[in-house]
Amino acid sequence: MGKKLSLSIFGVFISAFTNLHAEKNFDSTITPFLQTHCFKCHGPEKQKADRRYDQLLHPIQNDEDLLLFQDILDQLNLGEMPPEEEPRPDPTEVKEVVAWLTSAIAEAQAKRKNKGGETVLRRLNRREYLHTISDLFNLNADAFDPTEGFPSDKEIHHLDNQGHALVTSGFLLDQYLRAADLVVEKALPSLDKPASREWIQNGNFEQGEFTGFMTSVQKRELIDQPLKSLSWGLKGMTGSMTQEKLASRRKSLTGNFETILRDVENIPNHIRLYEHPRSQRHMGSYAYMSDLSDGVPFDGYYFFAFDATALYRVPPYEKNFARTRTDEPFRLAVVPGNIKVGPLHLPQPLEPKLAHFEMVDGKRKKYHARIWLNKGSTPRLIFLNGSHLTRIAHIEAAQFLRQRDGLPPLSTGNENLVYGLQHAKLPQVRIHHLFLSGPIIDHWPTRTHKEILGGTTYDPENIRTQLSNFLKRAYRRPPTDKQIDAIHGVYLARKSKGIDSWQAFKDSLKAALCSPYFIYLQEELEPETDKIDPHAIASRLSYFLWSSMPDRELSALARNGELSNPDILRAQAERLLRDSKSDRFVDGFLNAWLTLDNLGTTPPDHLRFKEYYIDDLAPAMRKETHVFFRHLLDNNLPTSEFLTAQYTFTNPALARLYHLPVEKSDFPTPDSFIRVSTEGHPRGGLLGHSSIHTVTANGFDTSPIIRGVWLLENILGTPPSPPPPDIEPIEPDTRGSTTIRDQMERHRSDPTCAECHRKIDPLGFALENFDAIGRFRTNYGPRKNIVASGVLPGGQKFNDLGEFMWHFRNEHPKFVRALTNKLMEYALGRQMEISDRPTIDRILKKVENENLGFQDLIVEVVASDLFVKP
Amino acid sequence: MDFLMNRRLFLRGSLGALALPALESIAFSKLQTAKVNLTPTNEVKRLVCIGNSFGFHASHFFPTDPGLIRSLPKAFEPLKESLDQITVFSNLDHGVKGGHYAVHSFLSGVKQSQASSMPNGNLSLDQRAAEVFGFKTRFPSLVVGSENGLHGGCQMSWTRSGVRVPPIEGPKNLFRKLFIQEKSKSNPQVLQQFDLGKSILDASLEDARNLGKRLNGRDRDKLDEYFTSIREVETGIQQKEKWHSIPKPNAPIDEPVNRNLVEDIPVLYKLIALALETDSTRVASFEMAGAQFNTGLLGLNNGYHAYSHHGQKQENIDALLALELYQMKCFSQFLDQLKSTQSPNGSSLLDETTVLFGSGMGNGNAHTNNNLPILMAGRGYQTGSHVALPEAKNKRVPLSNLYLSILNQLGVEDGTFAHSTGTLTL
Repeated sequence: MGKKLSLSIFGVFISAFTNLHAEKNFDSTITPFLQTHCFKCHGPEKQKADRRYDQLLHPIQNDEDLLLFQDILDQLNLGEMPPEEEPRPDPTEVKEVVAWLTSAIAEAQAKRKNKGGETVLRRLNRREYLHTISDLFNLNADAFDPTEGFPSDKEIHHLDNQGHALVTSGFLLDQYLRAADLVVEKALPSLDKPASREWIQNGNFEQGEFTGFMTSVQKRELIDQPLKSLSWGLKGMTGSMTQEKLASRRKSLTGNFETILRDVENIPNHIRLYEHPRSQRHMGSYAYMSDLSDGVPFDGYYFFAFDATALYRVPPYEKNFARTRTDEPFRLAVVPGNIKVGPLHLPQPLEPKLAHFEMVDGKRKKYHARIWLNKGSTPRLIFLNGSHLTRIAHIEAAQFLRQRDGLPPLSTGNENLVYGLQHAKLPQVRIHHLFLSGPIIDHWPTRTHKEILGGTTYDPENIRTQLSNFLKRAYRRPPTDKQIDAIHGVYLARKSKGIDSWQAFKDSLKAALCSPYFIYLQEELEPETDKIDPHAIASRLSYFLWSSMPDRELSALARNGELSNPDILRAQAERLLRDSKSDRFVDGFLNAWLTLDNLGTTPPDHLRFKEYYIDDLAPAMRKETHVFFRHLLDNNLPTSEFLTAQYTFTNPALARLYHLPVEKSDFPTPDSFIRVSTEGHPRGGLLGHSSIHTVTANGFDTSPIIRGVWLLENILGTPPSPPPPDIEPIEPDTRGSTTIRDQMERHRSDPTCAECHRKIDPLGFALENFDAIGRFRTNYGPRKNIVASGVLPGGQKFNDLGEFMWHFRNEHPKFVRALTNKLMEYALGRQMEISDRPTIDRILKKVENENLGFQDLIVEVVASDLFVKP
Repeated sequence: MDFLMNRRLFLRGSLGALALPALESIAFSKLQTAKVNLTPTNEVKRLVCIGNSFGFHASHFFPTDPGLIRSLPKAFEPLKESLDQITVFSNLDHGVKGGHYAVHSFLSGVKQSQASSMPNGNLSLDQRAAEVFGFKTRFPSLVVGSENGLHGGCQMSWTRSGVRVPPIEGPKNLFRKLFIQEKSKSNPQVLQQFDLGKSILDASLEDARNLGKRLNGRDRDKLDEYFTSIREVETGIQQKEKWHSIPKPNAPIDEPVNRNLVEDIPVLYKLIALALETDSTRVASFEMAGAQFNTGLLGLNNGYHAYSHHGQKQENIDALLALELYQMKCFSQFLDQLKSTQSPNGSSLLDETTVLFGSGMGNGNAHTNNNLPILMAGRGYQTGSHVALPEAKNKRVPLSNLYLSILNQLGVEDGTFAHSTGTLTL
């Protein structure tokens, strides 16, 4: 897909470097070169391979010529032309021609992409659809995602809201139909108030991890031939085990299992949690009520209570086999589970933490919380800071105990595991008693009912009015009679099929959610002007800053025409930014700008990067960048702080990763983020954020090229040209004593490569001090030191990471231009083009002259002429 | 049937030039102009495409010499007994770059970002086959895989409008799709659901028609996608209605549970074989996203992706071999299953099924997309040999040539596929 860390992107704006070359005279430099070396075979007399170059003009005229130019460039880069028997062109000359061709082609590509500076009919993307639905129906979408199953939206330079790239397909419309049904039936379940009830579980727990493990061993052997060998690992795969042997092993295991149930203290009366849900193997991650596996019957708040004991936080052995943090209290959380989505003892895609608990060691204690549950979901307890490697922990503990006690070693991992489960005292939480009651209904009819029905009860005599009320919000502008007719038509059609009035009304709402008026933003022109109308402006603003529909205030301003007043528009932008819904902008924009949506898509190695899992670092990394961005935004600080800040925001885990001098006691809770000074540390400023180091690595090792290109593309907005066609990536070789720098040196000595790599590599090498999850390092291993020195594109030399970060602040002009472009693209749902440049220049000038802050910059984007143009 | 015809007439009458180009271009004309080689009615042809994310280590995969395979590549150990069922190709690729970001071009030969410059977009091999003979079965094609995984998984199957075919995730869903009638709803409820769908589409169509009148050229092109979508969903509802009255085949196995990719692979293969056996579909694709491999089950400590970046370390390469052997073993069992299943015509299912197995990733260590591992099996490829194509840059043969030949052998008489320069017949 054309998304994520793509290396082959021609920017819309051509970097300063290429412009310089584009000015070189075509007639004086290029034509003579072609004449000398090419026309003989590709000119007026001969057109070998059907190619003729003597008629080429500059600027590049059309797609055919563009292909010919590209062809010449490729051949020169490949060194395949001119053919061997012909005289070789002078290498410096080739270099010059290559540089010229590269820029000329980029320019032509940019022009080709120029769509005339208008946003194309823009469909709600998946994110916007979800937020719109939750605002429209006042739904809690934390654990309800009707967009699951939507095809993923195509991104352009990581932006997920670009009109021309958002394709509508039959698959998607099918999903719209399905989602509309889910949403409406969920939002308007019944006109009758549901009854509350209670669920209690005191014993007969299903030890999910345990039975899960054991039964899966057994079932595997029953289900299918090839699965048989799996539980025995690789050995079983290559060797063969007889049926009898398998059967006897299974029996012995089952036997053991039953013994455990009898022997170990009261297992049926409690359930044990050993590990957090991100662990590699799920031996015991979730505790839930087996009586309530189908979930609660109604959406709503519930009262949830349980008894639990925290044991062996500090294990009584020399070694902490579980690799848990022994210096912090155990923490539990409640997450929802839905058996229709998957087994309840395994992770599910949607697991918002409904409540948190810090545990007291040793004693059985009561805990409780009020939690939101969706119909069909059941509360599940998870052990947030449990072990990361339960299986290995139990096996190692078993081996240790048997050796200590003078017992002979056991032969298999599974035997050790069982022994460990029986005898080892590893960190665990025991859950004894679970209680749930609800739904707790504070208001009836619900807010959603009132929202949809306009504050009244359902009135079958007044369908059109009620539909009109709904459509006004769903279509983000007052509906026309025709629009009401179409939806009312569905109501009538359903009624005529014998459906009752209430159901027919709900069905007609479903139709509205599939209408093009709902799923596309209608950016209509205000009559007699070249601006979009106030309702379109309201939507642009709310989709920019909230990723959702306008609220009542914004719609009212659109209706009475006040939104075309620039001061009011600015004030609204500021108001929207103050609302917590603007976190959607922060997340959506960070995903597009800093590609943070890629965070977690290449999971780091479980053994080398344990803390990534133990401390659940991925969300923490994301949050650091989010809180930092939010801080600059809310305090209207200069955008240069993105590069220069001497502080950041961390939770305890991230502070530990960064070796920042901050005490655990400084944090109100283990989840809280506080501002921490980074003076004397290579942190603070975006370049020190581990989110960026992780997202530019592959979870295993780092590449200066990938990071260098990433910085050029996203931070400086000057993407390099793609590599010539025959260049192979460097084949990583981590055996010997060579470093990536040694390997690259060879690469950079080639003049054609050096042209781009002198810009890419120094940036990447400077960040080599950060490993694949952003830990600081000074070497790749013994005798393989990291040399982070280099020369910035502007000529500034640096000797180490610190100097690099210091000098990189001088790149601020490029940085703020790239940022402004990206904000504008995100706001308008289209790519910036050459014709948009004056607006960007004007904004940048104003920001510089008036010393404006980051919030001002966003407001200037809203107040710009482009913002109200179609 | 009436439903569709009425709507066509309605569209023609009321929309005029606006909606029809889309309908014409996407839905009908392409299908109708495809020359379908009408084979004897009792001859059934099938296509199965299987791909993984990280490719195969070259020295484990490609036989050293061309011609009959005499010395077995390491990863082929599990295929020892079925060598006569396969053909291996070397030096084939699509000439694309992008590492993980180009793997999705495996079956289409075209990266999504380049799709708009191609007459058929980045239409994939399997979906082209499904366009032509998919209407004969309940499911025009089955795409099994996952949205998750490194960079969205393998993403093998694409329609001509540049949309990825959403994969069916996990054995449980696949099983239910193949064998389970929607039990939660009674027959009248299901029919009501179809009816509601039609009512909604009627309203949407009316809205779109009104909206279209107010739009300019490029916005209208965009809205055309919506019209096309309406038509696709209508066809879908029709298909569902048609098949609703025909019971699904009885499930020959119990409903499986989803575990993890390693354990699911054999179950998914089994279900794919059953889908072919019950003639629920004739085109199946299977995306094995490497990042989802629970490598611990194979006795390994690190992730598949980490091993694929082996850095020439022998222990990593050995671990890769273990992962590759496991995949080959499952694949070999799949071939065995097809071979031992008798088709209604009396031959084996494998003799009627063309199987493609490979990856859009060439060298996982360097993350390149050339020299793709390509293994063919079944109908048309039961040779036991290694076809080594020219290695030299100027003599290379596009993988699309092989795909074109596969289509031709399936009776789809297209003249080109993606960047093909001809066919590649044995």
